[in-house]
Amino acid sequence: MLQAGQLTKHFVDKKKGTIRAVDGVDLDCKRGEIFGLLGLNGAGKTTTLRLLATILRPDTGSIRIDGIDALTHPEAVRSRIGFLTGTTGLYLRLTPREILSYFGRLASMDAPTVKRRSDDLIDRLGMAEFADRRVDKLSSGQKQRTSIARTLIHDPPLLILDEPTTGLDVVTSRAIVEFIREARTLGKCVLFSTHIMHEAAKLCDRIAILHAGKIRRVGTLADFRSHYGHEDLDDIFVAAIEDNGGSAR
Amino acid sequence: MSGILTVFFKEIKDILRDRRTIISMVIVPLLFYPILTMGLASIISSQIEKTRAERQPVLVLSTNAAPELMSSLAADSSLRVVPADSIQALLLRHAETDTSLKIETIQRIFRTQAGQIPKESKEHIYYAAISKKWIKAVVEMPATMPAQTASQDSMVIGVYTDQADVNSEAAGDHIRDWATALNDSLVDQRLARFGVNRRALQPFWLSSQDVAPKSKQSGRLMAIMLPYMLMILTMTGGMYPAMDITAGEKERNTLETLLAAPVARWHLAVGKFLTVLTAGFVTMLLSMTSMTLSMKWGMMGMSEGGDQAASFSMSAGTLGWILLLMIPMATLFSALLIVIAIAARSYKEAQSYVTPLLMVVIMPAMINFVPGIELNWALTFVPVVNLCLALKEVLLGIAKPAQILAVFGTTALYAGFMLFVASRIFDRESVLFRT
Repeated sequence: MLQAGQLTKHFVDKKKGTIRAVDGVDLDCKRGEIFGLLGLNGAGKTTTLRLLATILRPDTGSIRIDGIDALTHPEAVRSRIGFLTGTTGLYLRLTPREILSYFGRLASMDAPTVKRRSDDLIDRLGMAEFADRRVDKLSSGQKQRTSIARTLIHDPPLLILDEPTTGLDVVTSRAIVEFIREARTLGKCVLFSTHIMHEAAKLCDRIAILHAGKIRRVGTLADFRSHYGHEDLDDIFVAAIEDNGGSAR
Repeated sequence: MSGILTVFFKEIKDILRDRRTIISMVIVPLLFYPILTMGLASIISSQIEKTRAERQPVLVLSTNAAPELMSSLAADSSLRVVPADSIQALLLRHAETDTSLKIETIQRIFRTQAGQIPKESKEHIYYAAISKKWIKAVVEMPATMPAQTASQDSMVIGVYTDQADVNSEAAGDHIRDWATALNDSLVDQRLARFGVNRRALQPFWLSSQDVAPKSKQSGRLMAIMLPYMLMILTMTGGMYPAMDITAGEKERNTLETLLAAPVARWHLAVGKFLTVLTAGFVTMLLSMTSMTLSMKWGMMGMSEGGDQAASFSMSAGTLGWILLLMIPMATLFSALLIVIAIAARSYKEAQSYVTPLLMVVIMPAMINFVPGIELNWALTFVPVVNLCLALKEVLLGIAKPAQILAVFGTTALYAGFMLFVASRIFDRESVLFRT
């Protein structure tokens, strides 16, 4: 579903000089898989996901999504991606239904399809009660459900979620976790980033640990446990970050 | 194309629910002109009437020496002669605290020696009395009597007012009116003594007439003001929407999601540009309507220029030219606003960029206030200036079609370039993700 090879991206900071935010990242995620990108703050997770979502262009490297080259056909690729971040905002003066319609239309869906799809999502996510209320009148949980619906409006096969639970309360972040699991059962590929090992361990089929713009290790939780010889998840995470040699896959 | 329209319709819906946009785009243009022309004009004229109707207190010095003048002045219905003693007493008491007022000088003034006191010293004292509002003007009568019909002498009557004070200025006007009337009647009396007809003093008169049609006379003011207002309004009308749909998207964390949507970046840019353009144009049209109607109805109530304002009208052709010329200008402004506002990280930062831009537009837009500047081929290339001059000439009905088309062309060229920059700026990561 998603193949990225040797992605690099640098930024120039006035104070710190050139920063290699992403430095030769390779990724390969499949349909029906939840893939976790785990790393500390500033490890390069957000930049990597923005590159994959074609929001940013890489300096070098290749991205193929659903067999399409993301660098030459970014719009075609974007129509196959649902993108959500923990800090994603919504248009406060619009209603959830209007937001769904806007993003549906942006994805070139025709009006009847947008309507059918919106009604379906509003029903499935329990949004009926507030679907026609302005977003600035909604609770944070209701906003989050609106964001999820917005991500799914064009039925994308790939979901890219950047720290989707950051800053959310327990109930709301549980809704996100359920949404991720349900996406897998629907055969979607889910790529999500987090800095919380437990979250990654709980959800992911495979985990990649990203540090200083480089992938340190990719594998299942069992692989990580046997490789580092730790049971505790935090110990594994720290060991992986400190492990400079291993890039075994 | 559908991407552009989707963005456009969404943004229009969004900004129409924003109170700031409604205020700047609809409320201000609709209320500003009626309030300005009717409200302000009527306040000013009623205040002027009030000031004129009041009897202004004046201090007259050397009253004994010119009883004939004195009685004529006292009889004037718009002036009130204040007893000199009371003013002298007030000044002397004031001099106790204000050492810049010399007691001896005050006494000399009231001892009818004002003529011998240095100008600065006595003016300082007169100013003190006027600024304390005890009197509005000082009249220094001559020591000798000039009014006798038999005399052929001319005398000077000194009038002292504070021109920064409206009431004092009005008192000065009243005194001048009184002097003119009295002078005329004394001249008539003297001439009668010599058996001379007054017409002998004026061999001929000039009779000047303005042959410009009434509509053109009132059009002159409109030709100066309207282009200036159009520039500013088109700009301000687009300002808030431009900031809201660019920097506002960053501030509310919606931009990233929008960039991840399957729509070409330039479609986003053009959709947003069209929103700003629409807002600017709506503001402009509402303002023009409101301004024209205010001038037509509001100014009629005013005593001066009522006829002119009533006869003001704009032909459909003129209106068409104005709208045609404003299209590239509004395009240039809207694209420029998008380019500048998207570079800001927040709404607030955008405001700090856009406000100076408004200044940059206001300055050249004031070109019509400078008399004598006409559109020439060199000025055709100066943005804003070219359009203001072209609009003025269109409004005055003296426009040369070739030059007007050239102005349209150059402005369209600038607008096209800026629109190109705006459409590409949504591809610039350094602008969209400034940290």
